[in-house]
Amino acid sequence: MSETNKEIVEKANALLAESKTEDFLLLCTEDVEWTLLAESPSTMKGREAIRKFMASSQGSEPPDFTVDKVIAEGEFVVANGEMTMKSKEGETVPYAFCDMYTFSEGKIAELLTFIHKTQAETTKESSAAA
Amino acid sequence: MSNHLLKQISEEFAKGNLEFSEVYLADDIKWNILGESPIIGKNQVLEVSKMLQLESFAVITIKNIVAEDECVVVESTGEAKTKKGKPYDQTYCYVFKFKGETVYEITTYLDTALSNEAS
Repeated sequence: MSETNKEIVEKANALLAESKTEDFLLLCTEDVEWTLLAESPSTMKGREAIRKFMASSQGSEPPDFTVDKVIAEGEFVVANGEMTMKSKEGETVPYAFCDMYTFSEGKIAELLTFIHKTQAETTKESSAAA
Repeated sequence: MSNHLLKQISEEFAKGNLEFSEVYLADDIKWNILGESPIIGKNQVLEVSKMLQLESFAVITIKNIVAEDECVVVESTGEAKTKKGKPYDQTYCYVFKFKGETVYEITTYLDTALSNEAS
């Protein structure tokens, strides 16, 4: 069961990376809830809300993920790691992320995403070492 | 090695029960908190885990614990107030990495829009 959910998460990430929103939504329940704890936190309820969100970020390059760990047990899958996104100015910006998926009947029912820029920390760390 | 013990160590750390978890922390443990510089060393970790930046230790509710191999993830919420008296209701996700029964790395994900505002 866990292995299957893990596979679904991998598939979901691959689809998002290719901006295949409709295929991604088919892996989610109708009333899927996605909470995004980022610079401006938001919660999307239902497929339509996610569709609108994805459409609004259409045009920007999809993020480039490097997954550190994928941990699965029962109805939960957690994936964390680093990713880069292109800013409007074309700069590559590094972020740390963690996605927590809750499954219901083989579909993604809840997704909690934490995301934060990591560049500022790198600077702080090197100045602390000096 | 029991998966149950690793879950317990992780859960008690997330709740702030360091009396229980302390002995399982590596001396050179690394704690990454999203939006902050990494904290290195057991004593430093124990100090930061007291949440002294808040009015009092948050009321923690554990929502989920997920474990696989030598990794445990704890999702929790915390209800607290900042020193200025503003509500500080946080969402946390802790990723604990173990070698045997010893925690050598913790990564805490949280709502950084909120933590930045409170600091």
